[in-house]
Amino acid sequence: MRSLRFSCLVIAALFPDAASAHEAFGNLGPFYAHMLHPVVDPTQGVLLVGMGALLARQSVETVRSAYTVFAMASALTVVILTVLPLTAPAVQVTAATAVLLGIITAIGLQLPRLFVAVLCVLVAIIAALSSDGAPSTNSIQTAAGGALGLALTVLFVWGALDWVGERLHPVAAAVAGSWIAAVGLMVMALPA
Amino acid sequence: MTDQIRWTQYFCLACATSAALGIIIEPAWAHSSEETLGGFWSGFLHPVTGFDHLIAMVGVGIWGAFLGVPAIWLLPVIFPLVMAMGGVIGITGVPMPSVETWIAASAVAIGLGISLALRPPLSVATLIVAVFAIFHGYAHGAEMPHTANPLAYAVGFVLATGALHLCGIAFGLLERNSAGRIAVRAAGGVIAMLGVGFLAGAL
Repeated sequence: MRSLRFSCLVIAALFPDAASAHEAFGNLGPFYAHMLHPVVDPTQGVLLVGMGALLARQSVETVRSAYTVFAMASALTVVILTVLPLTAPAVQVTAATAVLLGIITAIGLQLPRLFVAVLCVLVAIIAALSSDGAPSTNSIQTAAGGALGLALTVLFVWGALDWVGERLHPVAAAVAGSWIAAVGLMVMALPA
Repeated sequence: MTDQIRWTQYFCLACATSAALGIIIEPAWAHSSEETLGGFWSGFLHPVTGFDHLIAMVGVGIWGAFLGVPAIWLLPVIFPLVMAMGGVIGITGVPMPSVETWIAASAVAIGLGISLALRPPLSVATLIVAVFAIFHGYAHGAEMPHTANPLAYAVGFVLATGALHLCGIAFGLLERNSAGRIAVRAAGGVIAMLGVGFLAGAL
């Protein structure tokens, strides 16, 4: 089984074109385009990876409630965005949030549940507002895709880091946290 | 789980991550705008194509593996953070003297540390690596404001730096057997000699 997984990875690495069958998100329609948006937008990506890494350093009990709050807050913000044309926050705000998430993750601080939930709401709002996907007339698909994309990305990062941390070494999330903090720190220093 | 299986898993993970970062990322980013793609690749290639950066980053990983726990985990966590501080100095345009010399000197120092099997206290090793990280970060950061997408650039070069550390750690783990120990120390010697070449301006 392990060799099969490794073979799949090698094949994917050797034939990367297989993953780029769809040249542009526009061809995928509003649902998939917005669902995959965090993968190609570094502003959203950094925040969501930071959120997932932070959750990977918290207890499962904390993650259960925090993730639910995150998913609901991001879905609500995405729905509001389809009605109200809110502006994206300045990149420095995103960077400062990334630094906060990264440092908490790197030092492995165990936070109270309420604090993690508040952080989740904050990150969900900033990440949802950072979406600058192509405008669409189908607001239901846009909102559903956007909300699902945010929730799935955090879930994937949390799951991956939790898996690596449990199977190999718990430092994996700390390393990810330091990378996120490093990126945020440099972007914060950029002139506005 | 035996130690051997565990370390084999570390090695495979490091190789797979490095391969993934270097090869698989391209199609994933191919969906994005040219600006993001350009910024990311510009950042990713900066430490990889700058040979002086590359040998020093790999050297840090090898030295971390050579020093063992907790340095093997501490250095990859601390290095990006300190490097980012150097990056901030570079972005703000504060002049720093002889940046390229310090980068070459980092390869010499870390290469010698590996080849001579130096095992300084953790605090000293961390301090040495941190000082050099400032200059590496400065060199990356100075270019950041001129890129099309600075955030993508930052993500690219932090990922590349991390991938190079992982490569170094994976190689450094070979020192757990006698033949591997020779290979690792020889690699340290090569890194130090290349560093001298950069210092002398021959490379």
